[in-house]
Amino acid sequence: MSTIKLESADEKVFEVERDIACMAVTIKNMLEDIGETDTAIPLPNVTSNILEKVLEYCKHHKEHPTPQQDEKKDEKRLDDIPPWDREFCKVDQPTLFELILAANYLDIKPLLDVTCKTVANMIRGKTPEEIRKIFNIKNDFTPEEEEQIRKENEWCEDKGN
Amino acid sequence: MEGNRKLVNIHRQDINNNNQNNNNRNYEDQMISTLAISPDTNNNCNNNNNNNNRKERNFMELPNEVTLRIISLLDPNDIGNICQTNRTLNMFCEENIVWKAVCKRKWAHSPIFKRRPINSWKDYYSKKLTLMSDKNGLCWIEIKPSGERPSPRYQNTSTVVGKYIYYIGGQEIPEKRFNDIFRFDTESYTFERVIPRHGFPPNFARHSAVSIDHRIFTFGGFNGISKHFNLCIFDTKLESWEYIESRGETPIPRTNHSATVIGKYMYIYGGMYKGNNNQLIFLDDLFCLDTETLIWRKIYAKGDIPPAKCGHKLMTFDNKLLLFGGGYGLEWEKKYNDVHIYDPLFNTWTKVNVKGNAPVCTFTIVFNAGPFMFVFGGQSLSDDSLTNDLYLLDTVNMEWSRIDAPSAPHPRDMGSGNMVGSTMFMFGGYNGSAIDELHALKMEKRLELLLPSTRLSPIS
Repeated sequence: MSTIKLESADEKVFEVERDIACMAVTIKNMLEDIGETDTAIPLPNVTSNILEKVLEYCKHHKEHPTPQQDEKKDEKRLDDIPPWDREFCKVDQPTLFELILAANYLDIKPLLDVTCKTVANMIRGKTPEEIRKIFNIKNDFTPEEEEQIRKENEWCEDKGN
Repeated sequence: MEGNRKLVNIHRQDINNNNQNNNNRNYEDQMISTLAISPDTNNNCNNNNNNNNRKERNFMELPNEVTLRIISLLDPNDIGNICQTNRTLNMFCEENIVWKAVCKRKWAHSPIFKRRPINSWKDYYSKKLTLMSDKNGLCWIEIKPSGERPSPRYQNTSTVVGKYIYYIGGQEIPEKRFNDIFRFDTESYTFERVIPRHGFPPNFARHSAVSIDHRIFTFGGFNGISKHFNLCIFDTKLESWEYIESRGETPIPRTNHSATVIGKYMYIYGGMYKGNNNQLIFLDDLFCLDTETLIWRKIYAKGDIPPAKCGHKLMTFDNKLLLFGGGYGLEWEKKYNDVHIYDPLFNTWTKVNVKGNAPVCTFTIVFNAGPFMFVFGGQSLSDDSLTNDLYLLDTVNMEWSRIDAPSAPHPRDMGSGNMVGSTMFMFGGYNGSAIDELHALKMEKRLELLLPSTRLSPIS
């Protein structure tokens, strides 16, 4: 089993199976570009603790491939995070966002999917004020704007559907 | 909205920058179309390399495409909530990609859906949702017009030019066909007889008519005795009627066909004519008239060629032809309620796999509003009865719905319907005898923007 080396932002080197690393399309592309190498591939945007989590994710999914479902259909459903992934995403907010950034940068679509779904689930069913609190979002509307936007969105009510 | 968007200039000191060439994200296409993003190129990478004590990430620091991805996962209620939290997020919530995802989850089930470009998916979503609800605000009213109302008739044509609907010809009984032109002012609700200054229409019915700018092109029709007619032009500015010598590959004069317009081209499909020994011959041909050169072209299309039929409707959606309904045979041995689409770009007919059903076939009254085709009345698919239901075909996801609209007019067919502004006007038709009623189906304000395809063209 061939392995490659990855170097995190804080200069820790991880030795991982090539197949696992290649679940990250970005790494796969890099390897295709540079060919065989012994040097560690630098990932200046991913810290070691996040890279470790990411590799844990990739390893698990390499070993437990999700049955190929009708991806297009299920892609954007909110409630279909597999149990293991749901547990995996039970982390504090900064870590979750770091994972999203890493998944986005490394181009690991399934990881990006579940992390984004996790965030979407945190938003679901919450009032604007609750959402602000959860994510520490600054309300930069004037009271007038706020009132207007509230009115504009009354039509969105799509109850019973 | 544009101005609002420009306000937002999101600086991010994150990996977004390094990530830009990271191609094939495979997510949605036009994602960050209108957002003004300027990743902070200067103090980005350098810092990252050496600075491991980065501050904690939060939601507002996610790259735009990720934020959009997250919002795209939400349902309208939640989008309606998150958009009220903050200006930047409010802007994200307006993005077309977000609403395309919403619509896709809710309504997509045809390949058409994916290809169809929609300027505002949010608009489509809200209009469709409104139309489908029992509180859609649609309501039929009978109009008492002033001026000289046309006598009862059916199988006349009706064509919109500016604020006017022009009614040409038609019949009260097969032996009594009209050679008159009326125009109806959709603002003052006044009928007026138009007497051409040059030329005169024939006494005819069962022809077709389309308008391009200020000219109305009629084709076909029968005088009830012996004569079928060819192409005629009524110029509404000059108020002149002209019989046109056909050129090119010309269609045989016919009746009960249907015509529509794409750009400067008029298309006609099918219909029937009387052969040598008075035998009725049903047609399955498609012709195209260049209305500038007045040269006809027969179209030899590929794909699922529709059957020979008459009493169908040909409409234009998204620069394609949509053919609905019709029937075949003296006693309607065959009745159709299927939908074919002809794409001129590929010269191909496609029989569409439509979801749902509109159980009507011949001589329906149709009108279009944005991506929606409404169908009222016509003959029932299952028996000989006439109907008065209102159906909607959504040409984005190819789905039929039955639409609630109280005070529906009595069952009828062979009448005419035209959308002008936010109102559909229906005149004439047949319910055992000819009708001279004028009805309006009014759409309320929130549905008004449905109507880009029928926007009034200015007329001087």
